[in-house]
Amino acid sequence: MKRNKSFIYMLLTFILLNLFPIMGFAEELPPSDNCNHDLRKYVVVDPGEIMPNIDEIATVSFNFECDHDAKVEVLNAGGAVVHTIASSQSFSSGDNSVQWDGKIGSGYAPDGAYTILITPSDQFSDYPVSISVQVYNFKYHSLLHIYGEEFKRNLREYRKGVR
Amino acid sequence: MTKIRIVLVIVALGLLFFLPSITTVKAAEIQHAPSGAIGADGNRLVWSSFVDGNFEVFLFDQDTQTETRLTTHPANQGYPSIYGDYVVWQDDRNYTDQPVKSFDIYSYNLLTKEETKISQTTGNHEEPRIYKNYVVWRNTSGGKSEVLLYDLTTNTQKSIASSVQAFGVDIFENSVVWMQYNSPYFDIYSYDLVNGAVKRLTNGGGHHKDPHVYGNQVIWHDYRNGERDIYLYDTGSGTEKNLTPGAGNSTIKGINNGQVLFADDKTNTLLLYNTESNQEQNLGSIVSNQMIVFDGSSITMVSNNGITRSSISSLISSNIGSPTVSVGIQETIATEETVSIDGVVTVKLPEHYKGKMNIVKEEPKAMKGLIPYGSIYNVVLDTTQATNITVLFRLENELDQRLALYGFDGQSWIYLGGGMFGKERTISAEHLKYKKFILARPDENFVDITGHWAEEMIGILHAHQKINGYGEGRFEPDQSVTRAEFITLAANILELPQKDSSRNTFSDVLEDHWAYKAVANASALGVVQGDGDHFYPDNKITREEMVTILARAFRVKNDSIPMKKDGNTKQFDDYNTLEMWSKPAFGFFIQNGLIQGKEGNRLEPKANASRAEAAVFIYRVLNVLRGESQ
Repeated sequence: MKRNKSFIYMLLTFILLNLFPIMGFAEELPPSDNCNHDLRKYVVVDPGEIMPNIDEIATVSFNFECDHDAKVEVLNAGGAVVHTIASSQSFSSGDNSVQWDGKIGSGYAPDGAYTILITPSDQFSDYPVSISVQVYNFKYHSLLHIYGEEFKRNLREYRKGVR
Repeated sequence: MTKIRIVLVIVALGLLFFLPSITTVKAAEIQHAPSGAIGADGNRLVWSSFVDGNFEVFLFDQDTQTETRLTTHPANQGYPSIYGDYVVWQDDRNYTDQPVKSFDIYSYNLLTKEETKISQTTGNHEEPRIYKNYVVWRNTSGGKSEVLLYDLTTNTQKSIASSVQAFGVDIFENSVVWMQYNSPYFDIYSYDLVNGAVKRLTNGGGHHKDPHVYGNQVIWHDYRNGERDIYLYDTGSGTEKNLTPGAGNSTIKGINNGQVLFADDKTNTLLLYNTESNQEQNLGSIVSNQMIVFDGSSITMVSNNGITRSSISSLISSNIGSPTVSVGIQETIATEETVSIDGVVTVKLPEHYKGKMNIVKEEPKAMKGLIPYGSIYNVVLDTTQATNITVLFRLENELDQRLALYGFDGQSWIYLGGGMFGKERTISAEHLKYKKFILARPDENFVDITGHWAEEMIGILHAHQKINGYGEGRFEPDQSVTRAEFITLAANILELPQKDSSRNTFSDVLEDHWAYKAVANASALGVVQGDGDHFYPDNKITREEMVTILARAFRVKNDSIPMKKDGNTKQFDDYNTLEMWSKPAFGFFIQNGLIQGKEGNRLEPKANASRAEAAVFIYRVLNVLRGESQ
């Protein structure tokens, strides 16, 4: 009887020692990559068409899943880089935005389609964020010259209202 | 006896072999860490990893714990999704010579190991999702994007939403969902594979993003309330519900068969919400941004070099008793014009109201910045007219004086007050604005009063929004107070009656002075006198001046207690330093237990009063005015 009791105790101990690590107590894992993969990728621009010579600005809103240093460039329709907004800028995981005032160097970009390209400098460089912006310069220069800033402001507000 | 031993061994071995399948599997090592979201179908996971200079797709079988590399092409393969025998991903192999690469969609047959390009049009095809024989993804071309649907059985592709800015496509059974940008917000859209109908599920008022669909239920991240909430839309009933009101930011981790798995970002707690019972279970703590796969009965956590799979039941068992966060336990009570429930809450309607009233009790979730006490009481009326209701909460005992009534205005919990003393908190509230009520208190106090002698009373005044700090959570308790600051503070906390506040008594407190109203009213009430023409608003107030002002304020509120000429001031060692005009006030304070004196049995009347002393003295006056004694 005593031997059986000892045997039972040993068996129970053996069972408990093996079960304990796997009963609802997950092993602690090292931290994940600190990226947020639960928020889906997006990139939008507002407005999609800008008139740089009345000081309209295109705001590109996008999200990165991870923290990235990235360069922000403007490409023309042919794919050539015509302007660098930022050669290297730090972006955090999550919602971000960049702006382009439609200028190339000191002048306004000619009318046409442009791409704003945000390229991470790490292993994700093949997954840039890009979006098109249309540039259309207001043609009636004389009105701008005569009526100045207030005219520009009113025209910007008007265009916002009709979008 | 030997037979018994044999039986016991067999039982033990059986337990060891079978129990692991219903509990938790030990962390499995993986060779290639995921770089991006993980696709899952049953026990199989897919992800992409950066290997040898580009991204490749890997498959992990949780049953066999084997990791298999599916792609070897030197271009990038990413954002994989898996269903049955097929894996799909986006692939830039056809654009490697271009400065800005685009992607196509490829499928992979796990049985034949055959790769096939399935996207049929030009553009940038991204983030495919597969369910049965259907694959959906977004394509961007010419500045516009579209949602594409591909049928693997017929090898046909069609656009289900074109010339839109669509992202975050997902599919389950006959529903495709995505988020679409309608400036300035994202909205959620769905497409029915059976009837081909596109439906807009949300309509502005804030961003709606990251949709997931399972059966008739669509969930997404909703920002209309200023935080990241999780909303659920039932396509059958057309109803929408906020699953996480007032809980701060929440992040969807998955949905499966009526259960929504999400993370509370503030506490890094994993929670499981049952949409049928409206009950929530705490599944334990996770690291921030933990990658999780949810299949309805188990949760797989993926990290840089490890995978752990746990059954839901084991996680619930491990976390029974964890504080939070159950929601939606509701009881509907009888309908009358005055309703009491639990002996705790009484709600009374005005006489003109002729409708019915229900009180629905709910258990509180985590409330941002607040610690709840007891349940939420939701007052339901059958009227759309503005109706004032009186809500009274009865406490078991005086408990924590920091407790106040809070009302929910649809977005956040708003302090309503209800009193600071005694066993009741009662307010009148406009029902159209506030429907839910709870007793709660702030979860934080000023950071610089911990251990201070005035900590408790400052905490009470702060909880009832009677005093402010200096920013960054600081009260500066030992800083001095100016005369203008003090009279404003006292007038506010003691709620002095408004008299002729337009009288300008003092030449140094003109109408453009920030404290003009408080000082002018106090002067009209006889609470302050100055020296005739001057109030000296920026002078630091002395204890003597403070006691005198408060005594007069007390008398304005309640003149039933007489003030003696000098009370019991002679018991203090420095009583002969008191000004004649302050002696009655000090006597009044001493006789009512409002002042005990400082160390060395001194009143120190000429000393500057500190912010802590001002707060405490005002609190004590308030306490006596309410008929209690400290």
